[in-house]
Amino acid sequence: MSPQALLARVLQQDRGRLLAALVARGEDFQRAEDALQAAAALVHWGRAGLPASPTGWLLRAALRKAIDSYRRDGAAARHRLAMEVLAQDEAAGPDRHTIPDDRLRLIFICCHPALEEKTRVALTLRSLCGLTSPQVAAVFLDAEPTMGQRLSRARAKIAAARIPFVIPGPEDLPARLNSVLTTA
Amino acid sequence: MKYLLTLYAAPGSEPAPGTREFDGMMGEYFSLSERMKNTATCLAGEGLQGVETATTLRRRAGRVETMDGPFAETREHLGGFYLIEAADLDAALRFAAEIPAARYGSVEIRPVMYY
Repeated sequence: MSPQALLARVLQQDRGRLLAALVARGEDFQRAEDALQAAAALVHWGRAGLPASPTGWLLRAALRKAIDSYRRDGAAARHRLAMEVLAQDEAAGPDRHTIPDDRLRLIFICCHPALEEKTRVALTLRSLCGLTSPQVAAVFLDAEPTMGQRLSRARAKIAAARIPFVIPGPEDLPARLNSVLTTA
Repeated sequence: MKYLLTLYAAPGSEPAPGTREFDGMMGEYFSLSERMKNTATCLAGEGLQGVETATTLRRRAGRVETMDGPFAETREHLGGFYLIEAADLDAALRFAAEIPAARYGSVEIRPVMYY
């Protein structure tokens, strides 16, 4: 299997898990998405041979990218805690089996009622179901840039309004679960 | 994080002053920040007098223009606000759900800009 094909398959299968792991550590959906994209662009597995755990490799690369992005931001003081957590993980060298599964929290954030219903479905398909942005656009018969903008705006809103990356508490859970099930 | 909650209601949708429902509603407003203190901290909150008391001001090319009335004619009118400190949007939403205006009208929840 070519490195590019392997990368595509890893992203398709493990995107949700990777994204959830990144969001869990940084609390910033957009930054997590950007870090993952940047890490995927770095892949040069053909030359050095395939890593034992491609998913673990991607997570480490993405963690480094996320740390860089916090540093570049200048508001480093605000993000110090996130940077420390990221740095610890990056040093520990995660492999596929030690990446905790935060996908349940990711589902709840993607299906948050503060997002429009179409956006919830699109964001869930993109973040958890392994679809590429063009594929999600095709599902809705939307133009790719339009869907790209919808997804960007959603991530920006999640960060700006601070939609939390949590499993809802008992008082919110019934309504939030309903939102997840209707989206699914 | 700070959120501004703006309360909107169509005229006539709220209980009229002098009724028992009105007194009940006012009681809820007065006790709201204390009741919700574990969910969010209320930094400020006021009811506004009606849109008929509003004046809108614009400054264009150095000239001040004032207009009688609210900045836009809307079906639901701005009636009040809360400025709250909450950990995240979910906490802000739980606070907003307890505001009486949410039952008769709408409550907009927006994060405050930080620079």
